[in-house]
This record gives sequence, structure tokens and C-alpha cells, in this order.
Amino acid sequence: MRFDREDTSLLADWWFTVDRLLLTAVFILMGVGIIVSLAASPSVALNKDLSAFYFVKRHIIIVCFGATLMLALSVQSPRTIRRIALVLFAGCIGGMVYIFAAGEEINGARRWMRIAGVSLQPSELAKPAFIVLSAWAFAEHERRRDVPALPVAFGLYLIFVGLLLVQPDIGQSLLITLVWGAMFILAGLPVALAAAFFAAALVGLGLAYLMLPYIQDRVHAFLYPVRGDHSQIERAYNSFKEGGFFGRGPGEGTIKTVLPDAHTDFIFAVIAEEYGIIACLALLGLFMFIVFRALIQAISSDDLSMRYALCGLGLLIGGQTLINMGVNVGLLPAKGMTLPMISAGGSSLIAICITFGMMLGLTRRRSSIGEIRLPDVSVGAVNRW
Amino acid sequence: MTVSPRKTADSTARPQPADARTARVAAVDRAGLRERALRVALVFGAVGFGFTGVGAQLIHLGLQEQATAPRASISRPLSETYSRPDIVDRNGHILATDVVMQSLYADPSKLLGASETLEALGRVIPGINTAALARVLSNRKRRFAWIKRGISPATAQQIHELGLPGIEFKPEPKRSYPQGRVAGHVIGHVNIDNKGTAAIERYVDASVGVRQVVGDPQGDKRQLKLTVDLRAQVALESELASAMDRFQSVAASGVILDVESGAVRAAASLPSVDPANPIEAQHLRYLDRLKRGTYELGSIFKAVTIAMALEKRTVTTKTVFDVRNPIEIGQRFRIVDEHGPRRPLTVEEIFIYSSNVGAGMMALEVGERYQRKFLRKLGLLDRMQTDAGQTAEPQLPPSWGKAEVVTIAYGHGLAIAPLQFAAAGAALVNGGFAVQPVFVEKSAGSSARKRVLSAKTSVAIRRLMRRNVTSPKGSGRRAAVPGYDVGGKTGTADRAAAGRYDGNSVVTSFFAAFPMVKPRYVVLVTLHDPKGSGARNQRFASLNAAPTTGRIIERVAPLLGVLPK
Repeated sequence: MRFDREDTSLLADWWFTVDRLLLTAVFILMGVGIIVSLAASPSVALNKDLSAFYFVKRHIIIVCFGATLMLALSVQSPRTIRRIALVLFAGCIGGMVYIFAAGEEINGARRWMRIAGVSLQPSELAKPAFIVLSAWAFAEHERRRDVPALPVAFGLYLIFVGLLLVQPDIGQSLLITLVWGAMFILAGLPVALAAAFFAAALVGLGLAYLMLPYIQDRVHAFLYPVRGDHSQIERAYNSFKEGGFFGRGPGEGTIKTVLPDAHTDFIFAVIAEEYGIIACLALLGLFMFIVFRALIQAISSDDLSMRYALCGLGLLIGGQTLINMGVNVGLLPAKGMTLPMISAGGSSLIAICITFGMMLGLTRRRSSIGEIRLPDVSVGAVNRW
Repeated sequence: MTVSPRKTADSTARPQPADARTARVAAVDRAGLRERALRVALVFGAVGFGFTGVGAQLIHLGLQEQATAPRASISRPLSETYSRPDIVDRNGHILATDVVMQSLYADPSKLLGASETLEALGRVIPGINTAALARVLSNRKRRFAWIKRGISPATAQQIHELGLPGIEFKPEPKRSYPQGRVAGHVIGHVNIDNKGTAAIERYVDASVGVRQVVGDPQGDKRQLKLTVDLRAQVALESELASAMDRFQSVAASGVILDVESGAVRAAASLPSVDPANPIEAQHLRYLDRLKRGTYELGSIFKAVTIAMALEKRTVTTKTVFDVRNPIEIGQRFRIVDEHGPRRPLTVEEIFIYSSNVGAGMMALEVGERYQRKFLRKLGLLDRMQTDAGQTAEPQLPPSWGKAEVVTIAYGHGLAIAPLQFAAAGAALVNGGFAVQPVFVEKSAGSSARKRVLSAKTSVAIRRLMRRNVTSPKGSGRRAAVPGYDVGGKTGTADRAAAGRYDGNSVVTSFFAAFPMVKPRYVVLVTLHDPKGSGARNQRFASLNAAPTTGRIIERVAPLLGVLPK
């Protein structure tokens, strides 16, 4: 297919404005996700008495759906994206409240709800929407003094994290707190306030440690590892050594047969065992490229709201990636966190696709006159970054 | 502090000269820019740090691969194997070592038909139990099942060439005993996972320790050195075997013990066991008759009885006892000497002619309490612990009355493992120090020696034992070895069977030490149910155990560095 610059169709317009490097990286990530699903999930599926390729088929269907969603989002204007985010966030918060009130408890946490036969995790879908809305609030705070934008930003954060904590979902709360805190710093807000915020977050983490026995157990297991206890985390950790730099070869892995979460939280360990550390480093590099691409696109953007949103979305992907990998390689205590686009899991995959969709939508070069906005501050119109 | 837009707006509100205003705005913007850049750098730096940290940890883990490489974590709980240190004799000759062999296992979920696979395998390894295995292999939910552990490289190659999917190999260390059955009872056994289950092999696990094999077996460079001298061991076993053959006895045992250190230079029980075949060793026929069987050892106990009387100073070697009359205790107990001269005998003659009545009289004089105390001090009443396992529990009489005092004086009524007697006997001749038999060469410096009897008594016992070999009437004369100054005592005991004595079956023993001037080794040989020859069918120890001991000493003494005079 060839596009002509004269062509003003939606598709051509999209093709010439979209960040093609980022797009390519995201599609590579999707492909890697499917390949790794082929490696990791059949044995898990068999252990669960499902057909061997149950998770593979599911992964492919969801990725196809998610890719469509992503492309659809990527053609939207920043304003539309913001509106979508608002609707999505409102819906997800409603879902989370409903789950809190009437949700079913699975593995000691209330995270899922069923809509039309599909199991959904609203907290996952809320994440990108939350970032875009927070970014907007931070930008408004800086742009206009007549709206109470900062309280809005705090309100969004408290509602979301509050609903995450009651599930309870300490890992996601931590991720959201880190990303929101980073946006807080980037938005130029007082350092003292940022310090107070992180201090409060630390206190919260300490309280979680003291009050939730499973958090205590995990932290203890991390600080005082027992060799040979055959825990998921130890086996995952060992698989990096077993795989070595070049891996044992596709299909030769063994850890996927023993880890119940081999296709989700510990998929990085499966990659390490079968494809080796070099493949892991390549994947790490791909994620790093995506994150830094988003961050660099952010600082070269003139619109504050877009700037903060892109930073936030990039940090969301980066933070989730680093927490997941950190747990796998034994740098962090066990946390239920999926590896973006690679791990199985419907809501998580869709949420990642939405994140990338919004990212791609916000990084598009705005060429048409209508998209050019006036500088935010009339005096001293210089690039502030 | 950040420079907020409001501040800028405030400054613009005040009327100021145009050039000053521009300069201020520029200054404010420069400061703001610097701080903004700092904040961006902070966040970018944190993200970069995170990625670098994970990357560094990945490389760190990758570099550990060569060092540890624990492979096959799936099968870890199912296939524990251990690598073991070599066991060598005191001269470094290998008695037991690990050999890496291939073990065959299946991943039933990958098999193309369990029965077809087993049929193909059966052509190469006929021994596999197809019925039981077929059931296991048909279960397609299983991911691991052993088929056969420890197969030769050639067979492994053949199986590999069959190209059966789901059939895999795992190299495992397998215990190998290059000396075959030699010292089998001393070495003991390992189980299928290469963990020690008996004797020294079991001691290895508890002391030096075995290492769990993860991944490819690396080989264990450590060694466990035994006190056993392989040459002496072979000599002892071959002499015992030829004695068994000559006297048609069902079993035999022998031990050669260093009287000072307790080091076991050779220890054998025939029929010997194959360390590689733990199943066979379960059979009673292969019982370790040195440590694990208890026997009434007969008149060799008289050495103990006389030592006891000498210690209590109730006798000297010249004290005379009238042994012509039987000893009668109550209605049912009566003993009489059936051989030897019918006249009063000195203690020395009681020893040489092996007078039961004499020994009994001496013991009665000493009394039950002292007898018990003395036997306990020599370690004959308690189970003995050695590094090659513990001995069987001594079988004490149900009640220890006068009759028992008398019978124990000549070696009946108390059944013990021969090794225990050898240790006690060493104390009798080494100057009076307790001896703990050891099979493992310890680091130099023996522990403080415990005196159990006086040096004077020990000298007296040595003299008696030597006299028993040199005297033309001595029961031990057939154990004499020219130049080696052998001394010893015979013991012929009725063999206990099914709760009573079998009058036609005996256990004969010879307890010897050499050189008698200053003994270095004790030897205890026991023959089980030797048959006599000729019309008189004499089965006395003096005719079988004594000459066997003589032959053993003749062969072993030069090997152990004892020079002939």
C-alpha cells in the first residue's frame, strides 16, 4: 500500500503523523507476546485441564481486539482521548465500587467483575484513563488559576488508590503512586509537597506491611530467602541461571510446567530459561525504547496536558515492566504484576493496548492548522522544558 | 522553589520599563528552565536506573550459569541423586567410587504410545517391568517417570538411536565397587539415589556428607580413608574362605585390630556381601557375623575371667584350684571337665587345659557383682558404636545368678558380637587400656586412653596366651607362626539354635595377639558350624580356628609391618 502526502484521507493522515518507530516497537512487542504465549502457556493450560492452546488462542484474540482498539484510539485527537479517558475512568470507578460492594473474592482479593459473560478487571482499564485525567488536572493547575485543578488531581488519586487498597491490590497501588508522584514532580509542583506525598506513601506501605500478613510473608521471603523451598519465586530466579545467556532452546524449558503463574507473572522467567538472558536483555531494551520514546516525545510536546499524559503513560508501562522483571530476577519481593503485552490476562492486555493507543494518539505530529494550539503562557513563550 | 506563572504575571502587572521587564522575564525563565530540566533529569534518571538495574541483574544471573547450573528443576523432587566421596583403604586403594551413568526416564505426555515405546525399549533392555511401567506411562498427565536408572553408555546409545519421543536421559552418579565383594560388610550399601544406607556408606552421609546433584554430575573429589588395609583384608578373606571350605563350615568371621589405636586393619564375615547388591545382603545367610550377630564365644572368655580374678587379687597365676569335683548349683546345674588332667590345676593350667570348672570356681570367688562390673568396664555388656555402624545388642542372661556367673566364666550364657570381644581382648593385652574399634582413619592424635585394668594383669594375660601356644599341650599350639611370637586362646561353644543348644553344632573361635612381647595386633577368628574329620569327628577350635588364625597371621603380619624375630 502506498500513501500519498496529498491524500487527506484519515488513513493517510494517520500514517504520516503517527510515531512509526513507536508503532513498530509496539507491534514487535505484540508479536513477542504471542510467541512467548506459545512457549509458556500450553503446559499451564494442561495443568488446569484446558486444551493445550487455550491461552494462546485467548491471547491472540485479545491482542487482535486490543490492536484494533489501539489503532482506533491512535487516530483520535488529544481532546477526544481525554473525553474517552473521562468516560472510561468513570465507568471503571463505578465498576470498582460495585466490586467493593458485591464483588466475588478470588484468591483473597476482589478485583474482577463479569459483564456479558466476560470477566473484567476495571482497575486495570482505569490505569491509562487515570493517567490522562491526572495529566490534564496537573496541566490545568499550571495553566489556569481559576479552576481548583490540584485538588482534582489529588481527588482522582485518592479515589483510585483507595479503591485499589480495599481490593486489596498493593502492587497496583504502589505502581499508581509512583507514576502519579513522578507526574507530580514533572508538573513543577513544590518539592516539599512531593516529599510529603512520598513520605505519606511510605507510611502507607509500612501500614500495609504491618496489617496484611501476606505482605509480611512476601517481604520476609524476600529478605530471608530459604534455599530449596521450591517457591515460585525461587524457581523463577533459578531459571535465569539455568537458561544462561543462550537459553535451553524453545520448548526445552521446565519451569513452565511447575509454575502456576508461568504464563502471567513469571513469564519473564520462562523466556529466560528457553531463550536465554540475551533475549531477556533484548526484550528489556525494547521496553526501554518504548518508555524513553514516550518520554522524549513528551518533552518535545508543547501542550502541557499531552506532555504530562505521555510521561505518565510511559512511566506506567515502564513501572509495570520494571516491577514485573524485578520480581522475576529476584530484586523485588513477590508482587502480582503482569509484563505488559507479554503476560496472559484479558483486562491487562486490553489496558496495555489502550495505553499504547493513547500514547500513539498523543504522539502524532499535529500538522493541520486546527490542531495548533496557542502557547500556554502568553509572556515568555519559550519552550519551558 | 518553583517559579510559578502567577509570579511572572504579577511582575508583568507592575508598570516597568520595557527593557528591564524583558530582562527579568528572561532571568526568571532561565531559572525555571534549569529547575524543570533538573526535574526531568530526576524522573528520566530513575527510569534509567530501573532498567539498568534489571539489566545488570540479568547479566549477573547469566554469569552464574557456569558456576552452579542447576538444571532440570522439574524433576528435582523426583530424582534426587547424590554424589559421594570415594572410599579408599589406608594405602589409598579405591574401595568405592562414583561412576557417571545414564538414567532413563520418560515424559509420558510426549510419548507416541506407551506400549509401542515400551516394546521398542524392551528389545534393548529386556529387564524392564513392562506391566507396571505401561500403566505409569499411559498416564498422559504425568510428566516424569523413571524407566531404568544407571544404564551403560552402550545401551544408552542404542536407546538414543531408537529415536523415541519423550524418552530422555539424565546423567547420574552411580556407586561402583571396584574390589567387588572385598570388605563388603565394612563398606555397606547405598540406595538408588546414591544415599548411604549401611555401614561406612551410611557413615559417609553423616560425616563427610554427600552432595545433591543438580545438573550434570561434577564428580566428588573428596576421599574417605579407612583404617582397613586392602592387602590384609584380602588375605583374611581368602584364609577364612579356605577354612570354611576345609572345615565345611557355614560361615566365618575374622577381625584384625590394632591394639593401641583400635584401627581395624581387616574385618570380614563370610559369606561376603556385594556392596552393589543391598537386596542380597538382607538375607540372613549374609549377616555380618562380626558386628551384627551375637554368639556365645566359649572358652576365649576364660582370658577375661582370669584377668578379672587377677584384678580383684583373689588369685595369682600360681593359685591352685581343685577341678576334679563338679560344680553343682541347685538341683539342675552341674558342670564337670571332660578333658584335661584329673588333678588340681594352677590358674595357668586352667587356662591352657581350658578347665570350665576352674574358670567357674574363680568366678564364684570373685562374685556376681564384680564380674558384671568388670565385663561392663570392658564394654562387653553394652552395645558398641563404631563408625561402620553399631554392633548387635549383647544378649545378657535373664537373671544373673550363680549358675550364670559360672557359665559366663567360660563363655556361655552371654552372647555378644565378636568385634566387641576383639576390642575387650585388645585391652587385655595392650597394657590395660580400653580400645574403641575404628574403621575410618582419623586425624592424628588419639583421645586420652582409659585404663580398664592394671598393666600387671595385662602382662600376666600375655604370658598365659603365649604359653598356650608354645606349650606342647596348649590348645593354641596349632596357631604358632615361626618368628612371630603368637599367643592365643581357643573357644569351642555349642551353637544355640531354636532356644536350646544343638549338640552337633559348634561355634569355634580363636583369639590371638602378636607379637606377644609387645602386642601390636589382635586377631579374632570365628568359624560357624565347622565339621570334624575322621571317625572321632573332633570339631575343637584348637583343630580349626587356631590353625586358621596361624595362617592369617603368617600372611598378614609382614603386610602390617611386623617383622619376624
